[in-house]
Amino acid sequence: MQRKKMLIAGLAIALLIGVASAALISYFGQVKMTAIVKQAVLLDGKDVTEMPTIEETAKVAGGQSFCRYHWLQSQTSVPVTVLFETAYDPGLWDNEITTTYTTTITESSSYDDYVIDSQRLVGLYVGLTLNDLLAKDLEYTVDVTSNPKFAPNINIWITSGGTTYVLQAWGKDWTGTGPHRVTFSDLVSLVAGYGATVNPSLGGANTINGGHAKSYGSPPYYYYDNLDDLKLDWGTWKATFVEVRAQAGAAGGQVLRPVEFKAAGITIEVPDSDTFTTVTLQPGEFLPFYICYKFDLLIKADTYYIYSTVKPAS
Amino acid sequence: MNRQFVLLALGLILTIPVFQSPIFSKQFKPLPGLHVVKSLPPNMVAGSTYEWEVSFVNPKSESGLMNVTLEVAEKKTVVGFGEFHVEGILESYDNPPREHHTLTLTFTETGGGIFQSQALISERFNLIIKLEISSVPNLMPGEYTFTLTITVN
Repeated sequence: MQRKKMLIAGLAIALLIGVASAALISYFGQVKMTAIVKQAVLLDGKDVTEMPTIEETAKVAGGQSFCRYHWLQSQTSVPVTVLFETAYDPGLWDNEITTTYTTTITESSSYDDYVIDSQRLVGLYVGLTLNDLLAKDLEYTVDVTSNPKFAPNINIWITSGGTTYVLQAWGKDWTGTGPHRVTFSDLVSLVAGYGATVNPSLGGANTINGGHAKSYGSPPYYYYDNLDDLKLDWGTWKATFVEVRAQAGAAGGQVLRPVEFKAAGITIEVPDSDTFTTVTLQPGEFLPFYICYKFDLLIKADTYYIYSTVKPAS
Repeated sequence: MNRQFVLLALGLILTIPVFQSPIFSKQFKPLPGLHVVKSLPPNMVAGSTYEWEVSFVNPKSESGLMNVTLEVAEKKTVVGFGEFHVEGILESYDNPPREHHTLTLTFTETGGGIFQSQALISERFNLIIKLEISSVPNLMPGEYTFTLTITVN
């Protein structure tokens, strides 16, 4: 009898243990995943980890101004408002430097002489679309005022979807002191990938864009035989704004001075209404813009560091 | 006889602490059937919203308390408050008839990048947690790890 009671008691304890343990069991699961998160808006195709600072230099006199071309590309699926800020070092007393951000063309008369080192560029940011250029009779004149034995090149730079193509007036005789003039029809010879060193030797059988252009070299350079083929391919590029640049030869040391830019019916100026300090990019939007610096006539001669920051406002 | 009752009572009293000890209570059983229905993409863009879905089977026949924790971490930077936003839905299905239930999971950010939500679950069959994870546009680019932890008590 005693043993029977003990057995019952033991069973009762075992039952209670079972009930208690069942109530206390926790179920656990974990899922882990790693993702590379990219920046929402790229400046000139780069994010903050690739490009802490874009450094640009220019020598200007009081009263002059110049602009620099940049572009923003939204990569995100929501609208993003970006904020433009500018700081000066040394600080300004009376707004001796005015920095504006604009999506429209800058004034052509803002360039002074630039000493061009090897592969350095002097740009004229004409703010025209390719279609505009196609319809206009472009003329761009550059004066070579020193070291004339190294010929400059004159190019149109086309930024499209993050890639820049160089349209170069290849084969013209640029030697000697200028002024040298290039027309739109001169700019049909070569389209090269961004940063490519132009190589005139043709070869290879690869073609792009329906066989209009032949490619050669690595990275490929695209050669157009005639203007009509080039015009056909322009329609396949989503280019918006183009830039006309004078480029020094490999030896450098030239002083180039853009003399004149002509395109029929075009007035080159900076409308105030198109300047902004914030802009909202729609999903996937590509926004070319210019940072323009204007220096007061009475500005003290010095080296000025101008810091422009472009960042999402929220 | 009294001695036996004392022993029995003692055994009962000891049962609870014994099974609350780390050996028992901290030794979780794996959540049955846990799998990813929809993965987060390996490449994301700051400012965008992405969906993440996981499914599991409710291991208990009675009601249980489900804790969901999402932890977002980055190797080189500290994830700040408000840089991510998480919304969730708990979907469940009865067996049979296959009745479909939905419950909104409210996530609270308890630390930078740490989100927690609790819900009572009573359905016995499949459960699907659907998360919408969004970030601010000015999120620092980098390699982010998303860890989703689910416990059912």
